[in-house]
Formats: sequence, C-alpha cells, structure tokens
Amino acid sequence: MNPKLAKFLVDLALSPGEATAFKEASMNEKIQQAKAAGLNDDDAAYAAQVVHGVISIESELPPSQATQTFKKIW
Amino acid sequence: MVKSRTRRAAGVLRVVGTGLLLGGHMTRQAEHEIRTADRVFYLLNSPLMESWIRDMNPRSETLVDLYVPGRLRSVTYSLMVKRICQAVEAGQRVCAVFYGHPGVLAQAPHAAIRRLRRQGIDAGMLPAISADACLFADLGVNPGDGGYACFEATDFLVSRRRFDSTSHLVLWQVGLLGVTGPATGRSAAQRHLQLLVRRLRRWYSAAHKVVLYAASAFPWTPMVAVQCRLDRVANLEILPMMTMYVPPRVGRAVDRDALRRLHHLAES
Repeated sequence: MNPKLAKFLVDLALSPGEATAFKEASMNEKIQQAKAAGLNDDDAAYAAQVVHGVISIESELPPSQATQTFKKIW
Repeated sequence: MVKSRTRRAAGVLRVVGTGLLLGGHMTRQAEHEIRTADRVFYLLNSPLMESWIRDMNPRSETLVDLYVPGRLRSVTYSLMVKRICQAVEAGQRVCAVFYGHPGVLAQAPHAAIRRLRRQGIDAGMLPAISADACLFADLGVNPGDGGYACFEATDFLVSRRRFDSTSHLVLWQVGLLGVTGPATGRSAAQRHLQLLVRRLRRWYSAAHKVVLYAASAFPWTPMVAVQCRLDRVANLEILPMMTMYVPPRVGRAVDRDALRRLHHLAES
C-alpha cells in the first residue's frame, strides 16, 4: 500500500475524534481534507471512499503479495 | 585447548496482541514492548495494521511469508516458532505481534514461549482484546449470567464437544468451518455450515435465534451482527472471521439443596 495513504488512515484511526468527524463529513469534504493532508487525488478519493463505507479496505486495497497469500490461506 | 564456557546472553520474548480495532485496542504495555524491541515479528490481518506496527518500530518484519500454498498449517506454525525463537536465542529482545489476543486461536505464540522457557529464557505473553470481549460488549452478553462456553467451530463439530445449552455458547471462526488448506469459496462454507446447524439442532429448536458477529476492525466501520433462526444460518453470507453466538436455551432450575447448604454454612 502507498505508505502515505496508509499513514493517513492509521493516523485517523489513532484519533477517534478526528475519525468520527471525517466519517460524518460529506464525500467531497472528505476528499478535500485528505488532499489537504498531502494525499494525491487518487489516494484522497480512495481514503474518502473507504471511510465513507463505499469500498472495503480488505477487498479493494492493492496489498503486498505476501498479504495476498496470507488472505488466501488464512 | 580449553573450550570457552562463555555464551551470549539469551534475549527476551514478549508476545503481544493488537486487539481487533485498529488503533483502539492495543494496550500501552504492548505498545511499549513493540517500540523498545530489537526486533519485531508480526502476523496481522490488514495492511493498515502492518503499516502501524512498522511505524512504531522499523525493525519489524512479517511472518506471513511462511504461509505457502500446499504447506500444512502445522509446518507453518513450527517455522514461525523457529524464526521467533532463533532471534531470542541469539540474544535479541523480540516482540511478536499477533492480531486480536495473541493467545487465542494461535498456536505459535504459546509454542514459542514454551520452547524458550524450557531453556530458562525470559518469555511471556501480554493479554489483549479478543473477539469474545468485543462480542460481550457489542451484543450485551454477560457471561457471568448462566455461564459461557466457547469452541473453535471446526473442533466443536469434529470432536463432538459437549456443553450446557442453558449457558451462552460462542463458536469461533464459523466462516472458516472445515477449512484446513487454502480458503474455499462461499458455497463450500455454506455446506459446512449445514453440518454445524444439524449438530446444534440436537440442543436447540430450528427457530432458536443465533447471531453471526464480526467486531469492528476500523473506527469508521461498524461491527456486524446478523440475527437469524438457526435453520437459516446456512443461507447467510458468512465472513471468514465471523463468530457465532448462541443464546442460552432456557434458564436452569436452581438447586435448592445446594442453596440451603450454602446458606447454612454462611450462618454457622
């Protein structure tokens, strides 16, 4: 995963207040906030969709090959 | 020639868990162990969790490469134990990080600790939040009210486990029921579930309500709790990490004789 995107989502998870506020924002607001945090357009849109519940982080992220193997077998 | 008796001091192993919720369940003690370790091994279920651990300690590496298609799980687990223990035996302070509670549904952490302790090496595990702890909170279940039994779902089925149906019953990993190798598709899991339902029908009616549950993994995703009749469980789409909760069938009658004796002892 793009380290910058991962860091953005992890930081969000580590701040429950910010995570709640981000979750409650509109999709457009989410994208703008993510871009303001330094994500590029694609990653900002992706982060917004994950938190909005449009896509699942496990199924849609391009994980490492190792993680793919793990998920197949686990 | 005299052989040297000096030996490099053995290291330390601390096994910790992340809990289930990214960023929300890890204890401060576990975080301290991760941050101060010479070396961290991890086995986690999401790339975000992995990223978080690597941020805490750049000397972190995954154990997931030991999972190879076709390799028996028992072999994979012994290789995990070997990798963890060799680092400790070489004198390093090692932290092994597992998803959820490191001692629940995980063989390698227990085996690594046993192997090191046999050598007199300092090895231990820190408690963490597991799926049943989340289930009690999310579903409002008090295991002290009537008792609580839990089994790994496949083991429950194939080992003909006995339990008291007037207590709460939790079956772990129903989504992986009967899966011993690479995960199979949804239909196979449903066929397996039918076997489980048939077994549970010995104690419960077809209309008995059960809950299929998965704890929240991220602050922005809610927990999943699907309630349905027991005889319709196999029609549901089951997530791999789902747990089944079966509420008590009926209340158990109080043993008045035991109650009277306790009362008598308390007064004497």
